[in-house]
Amino acid sequence: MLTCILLHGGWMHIIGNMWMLWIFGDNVKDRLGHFWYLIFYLFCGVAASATHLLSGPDSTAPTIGASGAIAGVMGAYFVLYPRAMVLSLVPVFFFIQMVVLPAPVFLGIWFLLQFFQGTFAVTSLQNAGVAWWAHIGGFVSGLGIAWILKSQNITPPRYENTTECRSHGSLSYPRAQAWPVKRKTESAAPQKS
Amino acid sequence: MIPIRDNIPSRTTPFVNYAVIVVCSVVFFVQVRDRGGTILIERFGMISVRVLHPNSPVELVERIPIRTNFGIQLREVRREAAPSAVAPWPPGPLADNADMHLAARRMDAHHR
Repeated sequence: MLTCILLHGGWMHIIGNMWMLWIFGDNVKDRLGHFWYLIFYLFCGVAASATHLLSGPDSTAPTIGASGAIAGVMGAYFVLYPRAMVLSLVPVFFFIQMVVLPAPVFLGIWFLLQFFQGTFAVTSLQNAGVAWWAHIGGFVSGLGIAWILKSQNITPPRYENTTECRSHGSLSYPRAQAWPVKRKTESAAPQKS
Repeated sequence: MIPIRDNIPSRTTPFVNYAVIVVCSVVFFVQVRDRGGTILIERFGMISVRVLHPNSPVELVERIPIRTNFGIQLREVRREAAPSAVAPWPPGPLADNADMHLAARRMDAHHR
């Protein structure tokens, strides 16, 4: 249940997973520290495998991929950085647009997609080769652990309450073009003071 | 949706992330060299049946393209998965008689 998180099924599989880890993992690591982040990552991987096991205990198909553990990191990010913003590529009909989304919205949509696809895969008895319930289990376990840690004040807030984050906290944050401009003015502010 | 970046810089170097990425990449390159990593996947991947019934052999159903007079057709082929590299759990009530039919079929195959 643990070794499978080191294996991947193709180039897009590993690149996609490692990219998600690159985007969301560093901030979660900031909260947990190196050692506990590693433990957290491995635990989420096992929780994801266990969820997949429960969803199909008679399956003979090998399950591989780090996406369950990374889903746990995303769940922790959801709880620990509710005011963060994520610059995203979003397909709108035939066009792909760059949109700045609040992290809870981005991760919430991602989770709902996993949930509906996982439910559809179970009800239709078809498997598209993706362990949707492993993603769901990893996300929920990461979210739960982060929520417990946050409620117990075990993970001190860092960037979450800073001016930079508050300024991006509005849901009506404009467009991707404003992204670098906004960051420049904010990075210049501390130098003036 | 594909995330490009977030607006929260990391305060310290995420060495653990780098290590995970490096380890996964190295393992993936080993998989690529090992003809797609079939053996590695069967030995180290999680197979649900194997977790619940560690002592029973696992049969995999594969579709293999076979050239026939009518062109290339996909045929379903059953074969036994490579054994797990991780030591199985101690035999207990989970390794029950329900697994025996697979073991018996394997013995039949050996005898033939």
